[in-house]
Amino acid sequence: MLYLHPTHVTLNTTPLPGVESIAVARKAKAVITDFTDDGPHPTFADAPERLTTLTIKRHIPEPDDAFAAIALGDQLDLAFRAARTPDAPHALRISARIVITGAESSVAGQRACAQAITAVAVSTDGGAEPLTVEPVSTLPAGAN
Amino acid sequence: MASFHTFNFDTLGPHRLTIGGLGRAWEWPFGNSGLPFTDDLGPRELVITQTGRLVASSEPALWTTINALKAAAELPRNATLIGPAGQAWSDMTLMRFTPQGPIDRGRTFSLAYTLLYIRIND
Repeated sequence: MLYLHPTHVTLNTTPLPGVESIAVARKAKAVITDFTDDGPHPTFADAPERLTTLTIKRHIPEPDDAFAAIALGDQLDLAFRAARTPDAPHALRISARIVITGAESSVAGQRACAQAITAVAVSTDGGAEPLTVEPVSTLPAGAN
Repeated sequence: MASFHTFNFDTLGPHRLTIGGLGRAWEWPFGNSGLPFTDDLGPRELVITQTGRLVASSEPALWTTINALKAAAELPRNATLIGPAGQAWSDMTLMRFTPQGPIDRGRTFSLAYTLLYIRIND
């Protein structure tokens, strides 16, 4: 899933300005395949270990304190609003508890800075989805 | 697919059978017996290892199967083992049920395992 131009992006309720996109990737960390004596193809497969990773891309005029405060291994609550499609209003609120695994800066033009923050989303109990997606209309008044 | 006593492994998950060494058993000279020559002990016992994965839609259902196999291995259970092509190995004793690793919780609940059958020579 790719969320373009998300708004209200926060890390532990601290605003993170200049976010251009947040990409969510899901991948099996462990894959089971089992075979039988009846032939060469697996008859069973499953993904018992799953990893949800996020890449937050920013484009800002100059490095800021919000980025400098992020340390590898930090566990933070990420929240943002986004749309299902580029033309739709920002009708979804996405939230996740994330652990920072990377923070990179690069030059973007003569007077701008590009940053990429990568993180792993963690589940509250191992069984619950690490990413919560809910329509903004169902949120209580005043909630981000 | 294999079956043994009341266990129809077709319904329990994918599995494979491996037949152990066939032929005769012997002791080398000056082994435990101290004999100065090779001691022919007789035909080897038939040993068949079943490796597979128990698959269930819920964790309690998986534990029901685990407990049933544990009970059969502890009896011990003696029955005919039927192989995937219909081969029948009579008088096999289920000697050991060994879970291989943790229960995997993905789309299903599953557990890799090994079963050891031996035709014990009397």
